[in-house]
Amino acid sequence: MVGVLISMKFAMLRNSPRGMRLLGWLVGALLVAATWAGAVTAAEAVRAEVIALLLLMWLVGAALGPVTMSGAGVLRPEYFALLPLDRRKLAVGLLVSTFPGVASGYVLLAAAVIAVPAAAGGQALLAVPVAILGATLTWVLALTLSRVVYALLGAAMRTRLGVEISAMQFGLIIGSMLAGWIVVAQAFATIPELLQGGVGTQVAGVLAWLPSSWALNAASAAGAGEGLAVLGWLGLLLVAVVVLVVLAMMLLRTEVDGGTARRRRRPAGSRVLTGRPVLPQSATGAVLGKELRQWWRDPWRSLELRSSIWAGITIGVFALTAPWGRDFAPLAGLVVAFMVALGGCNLYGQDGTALWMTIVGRREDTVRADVRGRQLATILLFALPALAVSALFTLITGSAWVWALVAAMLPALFGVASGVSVLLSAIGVSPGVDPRRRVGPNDAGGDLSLQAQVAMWGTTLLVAPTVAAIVLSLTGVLGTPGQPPWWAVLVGVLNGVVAFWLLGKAAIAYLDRRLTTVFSQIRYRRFDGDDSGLLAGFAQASQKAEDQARAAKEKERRAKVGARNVVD
Amino acid sequence: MLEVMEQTDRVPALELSGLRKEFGEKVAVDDVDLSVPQGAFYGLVGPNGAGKTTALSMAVGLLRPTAGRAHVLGIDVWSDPIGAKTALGVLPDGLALPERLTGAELLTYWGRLRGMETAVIRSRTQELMRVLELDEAEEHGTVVLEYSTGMRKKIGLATALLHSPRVLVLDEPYEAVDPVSARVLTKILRRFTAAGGSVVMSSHVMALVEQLCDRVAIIARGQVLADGTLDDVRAGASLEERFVGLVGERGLGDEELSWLAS
Repeated sequence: MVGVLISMKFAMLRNSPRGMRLLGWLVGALLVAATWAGAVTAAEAVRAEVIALLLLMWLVGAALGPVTMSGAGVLRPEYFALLPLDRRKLAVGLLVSTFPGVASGYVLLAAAVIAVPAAAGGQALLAVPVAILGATLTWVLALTLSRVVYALLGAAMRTRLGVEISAMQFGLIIGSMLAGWIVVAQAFATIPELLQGGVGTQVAGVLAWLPSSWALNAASAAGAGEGLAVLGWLGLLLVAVVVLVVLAMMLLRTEVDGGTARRRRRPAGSRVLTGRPVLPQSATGAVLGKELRQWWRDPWRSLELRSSIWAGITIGVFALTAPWGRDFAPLAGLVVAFMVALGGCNLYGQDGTALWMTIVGRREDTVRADVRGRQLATILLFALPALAVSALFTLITGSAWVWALVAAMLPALFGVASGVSVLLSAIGVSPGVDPRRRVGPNDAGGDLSLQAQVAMWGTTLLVAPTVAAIVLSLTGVLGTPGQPPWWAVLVGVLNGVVAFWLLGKAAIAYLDRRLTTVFSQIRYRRFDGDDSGLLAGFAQASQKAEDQARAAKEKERRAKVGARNVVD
Repeated sequence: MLEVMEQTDRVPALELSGLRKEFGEKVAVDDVDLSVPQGAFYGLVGPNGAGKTTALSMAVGLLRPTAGRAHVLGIDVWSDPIGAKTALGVLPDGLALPERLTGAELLTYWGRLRGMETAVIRSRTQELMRVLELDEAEEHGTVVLEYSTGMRKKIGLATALLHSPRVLVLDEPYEAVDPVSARVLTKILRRFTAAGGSVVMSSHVMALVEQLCDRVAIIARGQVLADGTLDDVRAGASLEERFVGLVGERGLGDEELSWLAS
């Protein structure tokens, strides 16, 4: 069975985009080379510390890797629920199928770096075998951990805590993509220092106790001839591996107890029949109420909201690490507002075929209410966290002067991002898995890469007036240098209001003519509407991109089948 | 005045003329003409993939036809969608709903979008939830996602009825509904047609259609094979016999699947 599972995994990997896979192999190879280079060039006295740091980074990377890759090539136990297989054997098979693969090989090569100090130190004949054994155990540890994390994520969408954990991971990933360069730059500035001076005694002390360092500790104990310590560290590592394997086996069993826990209490705000209405009794109020509830209750929407908050926090923390960035950390709240554009760029796709209600119940003002209600809901939901994140970092850094910038940028960003998101949701609709059948965190949309790019650059471009006002104000071209740019706040508010109104208006105009086209795109995955106009052009381009990706995949598959037939 | 009323009375509740849908090469609905008189209980039967859902989707404005027209009480669905949709109540099959709302929240949202008065929405919602036996789920705060298939049908039906439409278009309304609820549903629909309302429903349960409908159309491969009053279409035989006769029977040869349970 294991053989079948492994070949099935490779078959799934072959169907993931080829370019991404090649890029992954290249990056992985570079990382392995960098790891070995770091270990070899580090000064003798601090080599262990440097390796401990590198191993920790590999462990964390391995644990989060499958999440960033949307789990291509990860077999889920649900696939096999109906087969007459022993659940425990299947769990073992699924776990074992994680090990063969290129990424896994890189992790093993990186872990083998433990052999460097072992070979260079005393008693190398004993230390090197211990190092290799330890490296192998560390490899098993890392891969099992990665499978556990992925399985937890699969189960994650069923509980609030699980959603929060996935949101932290996504926030970290997004934050790193947007502002990871701060840390990298800081790291590059300090690498020579790190290789010579190490990470500092305190950090080294903490690092030494982390599971990623246990194999290293065992090897250095072997070098010093301390047999008992060798057994101790290796034993500890073995226990950790066993615990993780048991945990993985529990998680990899097929779920037969029913996915969702039974509801224990009524959802917040659900007493519509007896309670007093809070929102306006209009169509827009109805959409706003529906959207607020969906954002609050739907794990996939929640994930967008929570990961936006975590992305803001991540970038704030990154800013803290650089001496020049510290003062700007309170701007992290702006990231949360910026994320409205990304997190909300597929609202219609997330709702799936539920759009039929808007079409069937359509009146004069239905489309306007739908668009404006969605815009208002995102602003209401993201505003408080954005302010909270900025306040948090102001408390940490004490740089209160930044608030003038926050006050100018937040309204601009919210207005622009809420407009960009709803417009992109309409013209670039990307239906994911039907709402009832969603399992994994990436199930709520299809290929959103084009939409994400447009959302990011579009938002950046459209807040330019406010940024310009701030720059002019701070440099003293217009206003007094050194004074808070309060007049820029006015520009920011105006920028936001105009963008909110205009972009929303564009979305309304588009949907007014093409509501059924959008529905067809969701239901039948085809664009069959009127193709005139700029926005319809984009809609077709995005639909074409989805179609092309699908066709290319199909062609590649056919070519492979053909090639195989020729070989046969 | 009387003349005008007589005229509007004679206008079909639903009229499809030359309705056609092509998906690339495939013709899903092939120039369908149908006329549903006012007050009729009209059954649309056909095998799986016959084009029933596609035809109904085009009739209610959910799918743009390649060619042809659809009228609701004489109002063109595609040139005056808002007028047509005010008269229509629709239950589609297999589509998503705002999944994280409770049933009552869904109806409240829906009523506001329909521009109804708050007090009316509230009392009708309460009544519909009670009659369709969804009130207990509402007490527990169950959201639509957690509903069973039959409950989904019932809440979908409630959305179709809420604004008191004049024409109901129901795609497989009885599917997965338990016998007790089915009787309630039948009583609702009969009362609706008795009061002058019109019902068009699709189904592939022949007995049900024979029992309920006064008019039927048989659709296969996107074409109408027969339509008219139930007795005309049956022509002395049972509806099922007539249906199989028109659609064609797939026999099972002795050799086929002989390994099953051997």
